[in-house]
Amino acid sequence: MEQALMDFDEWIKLPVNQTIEYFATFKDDGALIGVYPSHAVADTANKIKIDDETAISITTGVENLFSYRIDIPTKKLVKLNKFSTHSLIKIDDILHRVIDKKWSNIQDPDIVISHDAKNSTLTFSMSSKYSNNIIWDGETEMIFLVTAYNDPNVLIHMLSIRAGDITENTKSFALDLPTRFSVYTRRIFDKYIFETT
Amino acid sequence: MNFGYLIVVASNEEIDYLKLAYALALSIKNTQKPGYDKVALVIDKPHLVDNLKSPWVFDHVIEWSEETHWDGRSWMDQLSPFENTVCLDADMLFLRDHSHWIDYFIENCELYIPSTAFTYRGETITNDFYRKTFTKNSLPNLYSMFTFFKQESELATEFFNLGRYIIKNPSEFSNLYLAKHKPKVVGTDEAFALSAKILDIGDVISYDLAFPNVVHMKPMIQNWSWAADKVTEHAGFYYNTQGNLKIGNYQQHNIVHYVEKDLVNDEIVSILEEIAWNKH
Repeated sequence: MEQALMDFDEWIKLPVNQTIEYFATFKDDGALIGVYPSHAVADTANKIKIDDETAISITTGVENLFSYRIDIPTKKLVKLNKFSTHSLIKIDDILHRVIDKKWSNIQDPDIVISHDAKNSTLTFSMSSKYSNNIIWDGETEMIFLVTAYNDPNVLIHMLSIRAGDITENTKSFALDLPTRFSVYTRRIFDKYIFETT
Repeated sequence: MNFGYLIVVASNEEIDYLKLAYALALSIKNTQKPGYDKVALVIDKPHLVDNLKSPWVFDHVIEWSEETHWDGRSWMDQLSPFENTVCLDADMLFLRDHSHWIDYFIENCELYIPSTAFTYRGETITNDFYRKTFTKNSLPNLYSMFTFFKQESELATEFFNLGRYIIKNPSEFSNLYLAKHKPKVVGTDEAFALSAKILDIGDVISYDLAFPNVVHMKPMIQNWSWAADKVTEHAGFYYNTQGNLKIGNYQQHNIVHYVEKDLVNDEIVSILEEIAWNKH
């Protein structure tokens, strides 16, 4: 039987680039099963819509499916961020001196340590890129050593912060500080900056 | 007494040798006694010195551009404005006063080049990882990074003339004298060592002295049980506001040949400047 052809004028009016919506399907515990276009999961119950960028990065292998999970109570896709993003190889990774902004070319730092000399406080903050739906995977304690200027052998204060403390907020410490000092830490992130306000 | 330190640098796209020479000159001004702290700089672009915050640390700025890179140091005897000179590599720092040793050299030597260097932990370097040419060819183990000479010395003149000739004719001398292990480049160290051997003055210009105990920060000669690309991958470099330097947790007291050119950055220079301004 011969197939009836659509009228050309009607066919040409049809939208050519239909937007594809992507959905992630998941188990009851929130673990992801897969990422699919909407028409492929029409009958699936456990699914949520995800943004194109994330979907494409997962389907093309740029990101790992298991780097994400669904936060069941909020029904949001969250990224599991491996806590240490920096490999510890050199002494500068294990005992990293946070360089003052005026001596550094670092743009877009991951961690900023602000020194308020007037009130003698140190405030720690994290880049906003880590504040969006990230769950830190593993032990998240960061130790900061406040030492004599450029000499980690002379320890003045030791500060402990958990990543979650500064993911969306800042954390301040009122400390008795000398005029000049340095801050050292185990290098968990790539880029740290010290600034005086 | 007419004495001074000589630093020879040339423009380089990757490394700011003027900054290194400036830091070295500041460290000399900060640590040596008046009269023992004169510094002459030989540079191909002397106008760049005017951009420094304290150009006065160079007592003489000499324009010279006949050679590039380290070959320039082999002309030290003809470039120095001093009667008695110590020529230094630019990537070095002085950490305490050594003036009394200058009196010794002036009194006792026409030409002196040390043959020992030390790890950052104070151990004598015996590893020949970078000096196979010296050991295989039985050359005197000279470190030209610290070279004392008298301007009027015939011995020094003959030594430097031959050294320059060797640098200009590397194949001729490599084939004849360095056949057991030819260096990729016949640099100042190799040329000076060969010059001393040919003139048979190795024992005259280099013998055991308690100075200079230069700390040489090339990574493979630090008596470590592992291979390394840089010393600072394994031991931190900590220069404080009093001008004291720790490498790892070893306090440094001697001249440090830091090798890694990026160690002396703008922050270190600012500390050196601050010390100099407070002292002078």
